[in-house]
Amino acid sequence: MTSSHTTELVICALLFIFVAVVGFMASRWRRPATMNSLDEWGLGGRQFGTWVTWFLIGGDLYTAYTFVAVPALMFGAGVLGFFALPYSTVTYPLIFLVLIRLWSVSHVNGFVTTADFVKARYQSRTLALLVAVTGIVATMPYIALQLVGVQAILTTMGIGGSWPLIVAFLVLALYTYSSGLRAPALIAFVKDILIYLVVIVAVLYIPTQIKGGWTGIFNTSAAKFSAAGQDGVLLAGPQHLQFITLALGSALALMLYPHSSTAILAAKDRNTIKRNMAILPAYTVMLGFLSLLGFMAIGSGVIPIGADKAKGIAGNTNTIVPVLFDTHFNSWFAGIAFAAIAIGALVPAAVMSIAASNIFTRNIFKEYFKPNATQKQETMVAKITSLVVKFGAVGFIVLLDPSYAIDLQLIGGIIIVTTLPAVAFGLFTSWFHRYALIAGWVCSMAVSVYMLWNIPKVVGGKVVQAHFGGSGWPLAKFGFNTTATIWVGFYTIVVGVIVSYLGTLLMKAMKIPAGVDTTLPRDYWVQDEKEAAEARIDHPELARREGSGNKIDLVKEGDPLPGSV
Amino acid sequence: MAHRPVHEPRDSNAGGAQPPPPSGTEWQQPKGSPLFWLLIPLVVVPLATPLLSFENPRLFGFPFFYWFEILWTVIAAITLFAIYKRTKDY
Repeated sequence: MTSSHTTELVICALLFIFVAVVGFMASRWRRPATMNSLDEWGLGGRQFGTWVTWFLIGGDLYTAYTFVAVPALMFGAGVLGFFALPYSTVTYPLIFLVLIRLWSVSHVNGFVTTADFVKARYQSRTLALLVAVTGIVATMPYIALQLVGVQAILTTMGIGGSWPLIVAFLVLALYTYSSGLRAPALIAFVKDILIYLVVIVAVLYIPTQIKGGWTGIFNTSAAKFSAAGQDGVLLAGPQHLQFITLALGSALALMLYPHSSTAILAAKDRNTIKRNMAILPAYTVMLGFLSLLGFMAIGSGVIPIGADKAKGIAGNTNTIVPVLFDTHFNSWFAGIAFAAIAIGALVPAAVMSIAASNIFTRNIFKEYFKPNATQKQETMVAKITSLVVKFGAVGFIVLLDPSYAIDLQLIGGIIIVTTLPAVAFGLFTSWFHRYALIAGWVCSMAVSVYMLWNIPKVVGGKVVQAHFGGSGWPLAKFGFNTTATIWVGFYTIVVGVIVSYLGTLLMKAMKIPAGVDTTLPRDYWVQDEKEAAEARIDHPELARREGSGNKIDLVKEGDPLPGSV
Repeated sequence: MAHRPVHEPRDSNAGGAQPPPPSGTEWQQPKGSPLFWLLIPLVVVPLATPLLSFENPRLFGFPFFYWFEILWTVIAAITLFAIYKRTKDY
């Protein structure tokens, strides 16, 4: 690895500059009359068609960290890393069922975040605040994690220091500030084309360079794991539960992450999302092959940067894919591959920071600090928040150990499912009682944090980290005689659902008033803006808020205005 | 868990006071489509790992588990497209 990486660097830098120009130009793309509205800045005008949505959601959900960490997990732990494939296969039927309803109800009522929805559904500011804060807390480490992906690339190219990261994120922060969601939507085109190109070439070309091709790759991997006394390329008995709960739970978590709902809400109509659920699996297939790069690395015998077999040092396994590319591709194509991964970090980081800003603006700033904020003020706050969020993420990576970001991301993926009963169930029924949902959130959060706190990280039989060391809760702790573990988020869901259910029964028995649901059944079914406008006629409180003359006539005297409570 | 509610007859407002009655056009909730049942195997099959995690038969050198999971993604995409085509109004 001592050879210089000038060609790679130049190609990376050129592509990065190209992407930055695209990012700044994006503010002129389908330019609205005014950018001073959260619908424009934070949701791209709610007008993205099938292809833009495809690139945006794909570019948003498949993050740089995925490209780096999933193969690294396959390289280090074998088949368990392959959970990423069923996870993203399962995601789309779930979105098909659940998030299209979120799109419809949000389009009618002008919701920008899931917390907006929860507030209207249950008439509970507390519950909305919990959903909002959970969303922000879960998203922050995810943004920081994107930088870990970029860092793996920089390390492989032999670049030390934190200034390249700071420059990259500064540029990203600036064009997100000026262009909003339009920037990642446009950049996603560049990112996805590069990623597809690289993965297709890697999958077709690298196996021809390895003895035995794919057969050889799988056999060498199996041999490596069995020599190390580890579980190998197929799931062993106790691994199934962890694999299944992790895959299903991650899909549920993904559905609830703010950056997913932001990308979904930016679509122009309901069928755009449905169509996308059928074409997005193209990314899943790509991810499946990408994860196998971890096995290719084993087959080709490359080792991560900093690894020393003789001394038993594992090195930075996150560099395994970049090193594999570096070994097998010529320098200019390796440059393109590196750029693909680095640019791959920018799209999700931008969407995530916009999602977090939307939440902060709508559900904290406007709700608690300035209820009568104008659209312009809202947008300004969101833009500034997006800067703060990104610099927070950079500071996090530069000042602290990046491995904290990985631990926090693990926690983030689990705590986000505490919002499952309120958000996902809430999209189907308002049966649950607001106080019961609050209790459910508190209990499931407490259980998750307790469990995560008590999972140590064990390397080679030695505890290297006492707390927050993983996401698998050993069943042995419940007295079962097995080494099987279950993903902590599974307990989060079970506890949240049970407490919310029993609590609701209790609240109803005690006749404690539930919140007034200001959404109407029809809201969950509207197909497009035309139907949404029709549905809005039934919402007197929306007509009054908009102050549109002809709609005000529809507000009858004595009508309750639940939204104002 | 997310499957059941599709076939729910209506969104219940049982939890609270009823909002004002609709003053606009009459609206009827679309009926559920039996096609939505197809979503269940799409979710269940790729997670049924004890039935899938085998080495043979291999395909292009891939163990069964790997090529089947990848193939299922394609099957899921085709199924979702078919459901979308048939349920555009839902």
